[in-house]
Amino acid sequence: MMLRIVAAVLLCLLSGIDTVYAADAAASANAVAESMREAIFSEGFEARLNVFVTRASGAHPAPLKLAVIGQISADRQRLVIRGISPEAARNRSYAVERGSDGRIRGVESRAAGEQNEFDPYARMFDSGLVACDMLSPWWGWPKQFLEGMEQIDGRDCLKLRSMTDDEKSPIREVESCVDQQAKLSLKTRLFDSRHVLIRATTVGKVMRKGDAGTMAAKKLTIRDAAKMLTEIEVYAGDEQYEISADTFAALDKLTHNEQQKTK
Amino acid sequence: MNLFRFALDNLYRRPARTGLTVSAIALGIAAVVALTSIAWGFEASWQKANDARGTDLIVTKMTSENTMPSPFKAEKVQQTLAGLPHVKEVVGLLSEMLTVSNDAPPVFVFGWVYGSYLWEHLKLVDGRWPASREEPVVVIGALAAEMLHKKTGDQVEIEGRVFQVAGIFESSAVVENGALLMTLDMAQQVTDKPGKVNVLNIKMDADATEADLRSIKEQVKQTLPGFVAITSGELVSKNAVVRISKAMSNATILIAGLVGALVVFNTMLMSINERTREIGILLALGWQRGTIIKLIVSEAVILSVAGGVVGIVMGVGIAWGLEHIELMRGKIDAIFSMPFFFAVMGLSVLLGICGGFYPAFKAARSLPSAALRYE
Repeated sequence: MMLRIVAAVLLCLLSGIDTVYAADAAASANAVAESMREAIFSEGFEARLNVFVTRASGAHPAPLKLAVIGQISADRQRLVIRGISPEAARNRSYAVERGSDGRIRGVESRAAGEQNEFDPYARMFDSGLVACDMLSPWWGWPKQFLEGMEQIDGRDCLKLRSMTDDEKSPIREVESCVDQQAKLSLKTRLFDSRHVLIRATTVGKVMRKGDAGTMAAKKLTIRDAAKMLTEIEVYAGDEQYEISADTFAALDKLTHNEQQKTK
Repeated sequence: MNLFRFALDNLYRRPARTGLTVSAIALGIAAVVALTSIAWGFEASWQKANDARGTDLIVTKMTSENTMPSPFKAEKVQQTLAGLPHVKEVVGLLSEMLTVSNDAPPVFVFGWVYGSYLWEHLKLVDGRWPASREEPVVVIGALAAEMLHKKTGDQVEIEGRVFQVAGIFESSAVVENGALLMTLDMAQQVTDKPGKVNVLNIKMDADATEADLRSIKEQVKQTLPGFVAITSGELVSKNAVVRISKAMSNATILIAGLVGALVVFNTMLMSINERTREIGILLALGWQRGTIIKLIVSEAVILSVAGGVVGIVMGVGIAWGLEHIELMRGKIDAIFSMPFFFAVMGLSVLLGICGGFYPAFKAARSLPSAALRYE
């Protein structure tokens, strides 16, 4: 009888420890995700990218030059991805926004003021670039789990699994490997609801940001399920980019139209 | 027969080993010569570009360590600087490393204030300068023109915009010779950095003294938080690329020095082991131990001096070759000087003495009776 009581007490204590440990792990996973979310806060930035695409067939379309302009805060994340060259990309831009409700929406603009809503989970410029990935919405998802340490190219990183039950999102699960010092995910794998890999992004080279002293990706590759390889290199940037009144005009117009419809 | 001739004959007797030792030393010395000349040249080229423009002080962001400092809004800073005593002109400069041709590596694109003193040191060899602040034209350095296969009247595409080549210029600084130049307004438009510059260049009036420069540095520190006023030399020495290249050159000197000394040490040790009987005979004939030491050290020094001479020639060749490969053209400008070559030869002699001393001492300690019995 005595033995049973001792065993029961021990079991209770152990389950208690387990619960406390699980709670601590979840708390630290959330803290890592939160720190990643905050790391990209910016009143305005611009990055210019060289994008090289290799299709599954091995074909190489003309290299792209793109500008990514963004404004990221806790309440609202907005990006514009604008084509610089070649000619076919020049007059195209994609604006994407994630509001405080977590909803992501986008507008595609073409020459002569033609604007259409676009799927933020779709590819842009016929490359592996996806607007939603650039916003990394998974850092705000409620389920975050730490899964130990890994080393990528000699850099230690913390494995983190983020999950969502949002049925509107084609991405349900994300595996990241976070370099906590650099506040940078060195490897990101996105999965759908059936745990099928959608895309994997790997950082190849990092660079020190000019004034902040923190790190950012200089070279990265995106490999998607269709075996398209997209290599991206940041060749210029401005961490204090001045957002003008018309930078996000396409998104403002979309909001205005939505408000009109509601009325 | 004098000692030098004797040492030389000893080396001639084993041509393969002598050749290999000289080659190993030469490779180390060549690496030292090439890397050091490029590291110094890189620093000197940027400084030459700044000095040639006639800039007395450069105002930039305090934390900037990149090849070009981070861009900042110029207007307010410029106004403050223009009001300081003895300041004659304050002009902005914007620069980016951009790809302007799929067949050529990226080049520097500079934006300079139209009509400012920055343009005065350039020599126009063909065409004309931009006619206004907003004219969408570029002038290109002679080296860039050659690399990009462009001449006056041709077009270049920069960040999706087409510019006509208005002229070709020459500069005393290789950095500028390999660059494209446009007005600051155009550079700000094309890089989407309205009102921004990487640095502000200050030109002082003729009455300004060193004390005035120091005073301006202090006033910038006091009145413009986050900014610093420095000379072109100070800006270049802060540059991360210059620091890395200098560190690499120092590391190469250290490694090449150690490897060179070990090669000489190994060769001379093998040599005296093979010549134990010969050394015994010399000692038995009455040679002084000091003379034996001089003989062995002389052989080591001859080896390392020969390696040094060959290494200098190879190093100059490597640096010249690197300057002319497509990827590096217009970006490096190796500099050589007689004091530098003398220093390298000094390093070679030092390698010989360090590597040869222990074997020489060991040989001199041999007992003639034991050495003559050695098989």
